[in-house]
Amino acid sequence: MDNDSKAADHSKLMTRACSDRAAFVQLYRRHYDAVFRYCVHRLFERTAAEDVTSDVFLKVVENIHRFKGTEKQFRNWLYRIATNAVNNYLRKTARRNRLLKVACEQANSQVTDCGESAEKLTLLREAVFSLKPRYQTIITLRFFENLKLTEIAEVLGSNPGTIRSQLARALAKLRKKLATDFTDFTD
Amino acid sequence: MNDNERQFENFVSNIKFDDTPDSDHRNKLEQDLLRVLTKQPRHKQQPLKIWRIIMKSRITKLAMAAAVLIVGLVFLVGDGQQSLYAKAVEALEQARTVHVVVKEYRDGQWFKDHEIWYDREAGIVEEECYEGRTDVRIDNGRYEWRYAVGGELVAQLNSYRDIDEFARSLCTGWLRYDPNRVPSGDVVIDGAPCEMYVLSNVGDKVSIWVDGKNHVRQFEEARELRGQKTESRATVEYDVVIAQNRFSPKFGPEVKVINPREWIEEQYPLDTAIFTRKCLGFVFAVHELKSYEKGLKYIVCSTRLSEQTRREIGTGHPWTYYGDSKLFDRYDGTGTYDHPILLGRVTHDGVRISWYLLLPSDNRAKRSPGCDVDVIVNTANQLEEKCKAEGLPTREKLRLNIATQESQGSKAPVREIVKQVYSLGEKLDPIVHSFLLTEVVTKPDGEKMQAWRRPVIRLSEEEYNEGVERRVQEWLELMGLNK
Repeated sequence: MDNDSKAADHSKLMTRACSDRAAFVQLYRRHYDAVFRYCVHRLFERTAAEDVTSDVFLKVVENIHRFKGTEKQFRNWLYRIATNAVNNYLRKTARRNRLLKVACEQANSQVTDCGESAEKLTLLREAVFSLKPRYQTIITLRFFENLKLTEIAEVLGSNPGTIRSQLARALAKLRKKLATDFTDFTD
Repeated sequence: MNDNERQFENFVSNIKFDDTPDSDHRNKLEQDLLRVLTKQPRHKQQPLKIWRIIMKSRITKLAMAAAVLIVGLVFLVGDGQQSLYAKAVEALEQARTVHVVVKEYRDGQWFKDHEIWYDREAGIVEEECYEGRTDVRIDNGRYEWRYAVGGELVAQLNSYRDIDEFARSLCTGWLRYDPNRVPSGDVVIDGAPCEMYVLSNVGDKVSIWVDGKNHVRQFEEARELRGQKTESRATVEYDVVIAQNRFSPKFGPEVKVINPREWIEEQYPLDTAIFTRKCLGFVFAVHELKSYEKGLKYIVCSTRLSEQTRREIGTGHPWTYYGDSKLFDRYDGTGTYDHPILLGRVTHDGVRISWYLLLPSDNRAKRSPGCDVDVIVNTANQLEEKCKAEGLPTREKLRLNIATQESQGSKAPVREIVKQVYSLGEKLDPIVHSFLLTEVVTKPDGEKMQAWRRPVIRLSEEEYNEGVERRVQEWLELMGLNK
């Protein structure tokens, strides 16, 4: 199928998904993994990520009739909903603490298996959690979901220039947190 | 990707996440979603939340009502026919004047909430009424005046808003959504048969009546927020006679017509400030710093665009935000003993005045003759762009370490300070962009929120005082200084 046909196919799918259950399921299956992975990368914990993923798709069901756009825009819309859902989840300090605790336990149990990777993961989540939610979002979308700055800007309703400077600030903060522990993240 | 990004990417590249999706969860969620889809009604859900957000602002609420009649409703009928929205716009364009009265139902009675007069040639007048007070905005296309009826100040600004644009921007809210036709609700209004349309969502309902000429004649809103029900009704008349002097008001000698920015700058002049510092195109200044018993201090600061910056960036709209300054506890590892809490601030046309209480963090503060806090100045919009273009930072931190003006020795200063700030808020409330009274109030359900004197959240002096005193007590208790 050429690109034009694919685009037309996606467009039809988006239109049908509002009223056609089969089309919605198709859309859901295409995007579930990306949403779940994004939630894991933001929350560092799969149970919480599954809960938030469920919330995200329930919101999608409720609001899909309002969505007008391409499938790419749909993906960005999903990330926006997921970002809000994750931030809401993290807003409760107790939840954040629980996540950190679970993270530590996981790291301790994994340390023999993965060694440096598990240790890095623990440090990374502590460093990431110390950032503002917006910075956390930008870091995750950029480095784990591999979105371009323009795409992140669309997800966050901002402009690429602002995202670029916020990314630089977020990285500077992470560097400060991580630099003492990892020589591969220093100048 | 720059070096920083590449280094971070290298760092995360060998971190293993447990992020493989679980098919059981995926399948279960799919079934749950299908059940929800099955139960969900086929008709479109109306996003009344938008309405709720828009209607939070009294001014917007007022203007929203204007938009309804100016632009009409977005009633899409589909099938290539002209939408009801388009017909309503067309009908409206034939009207020379429009008059709207919005009432709210409270305590078993209907009270006038706001009233709008619109004359296509002469401009717009908006009045909003609450708690015995009436605020007015008049825009005749050349000037805009804002004032509270009976107040001593009237703001006169150049008209900055195209009324048609004003209407167009407002019509992008909930009126875009497709209301349901409800024939059982058809009524006759002033002799004209009107069709009823309804937007509804859980706890919220908006009913609209449109006459045979496609004029919106009435709309009602019933909504429920946190268990509290509110109802409002707007009635709309077309081509009524409106006295032309409404759009060019005359004020008596007891009223002072001011440019708010100049007035604010006169009240807080730089030449009598006790501290000034040029920073990022702003001038930061401290106008007052007084210490009281038990280490409590009161400080008034301002941030204003320098004249040179004004010339360079060409300021215009008084609502534009160029940045500001904020006081913070010092976090540089050397310790701090003054903890600022924001009492209020006024922002208008590149000038911000902020009032703070400085609370002691330890016993050193009680002995300190001055204040020692961080000030962070940040830029926004055109000023931020200018700084970036010139390779300057867009944010800067100052350490504010200055001596107090005098020792007051007052035993109960909070009440007096609160009174003073509140009184200024009352005076400036309807005429400036925004006036914040206290940063955080606790609502009955325990949720903390920002409390602005305007728009919409009505805060009495008593509530404000209680909010500030509670914040002071909470801090002192936290620091173990409440003895």
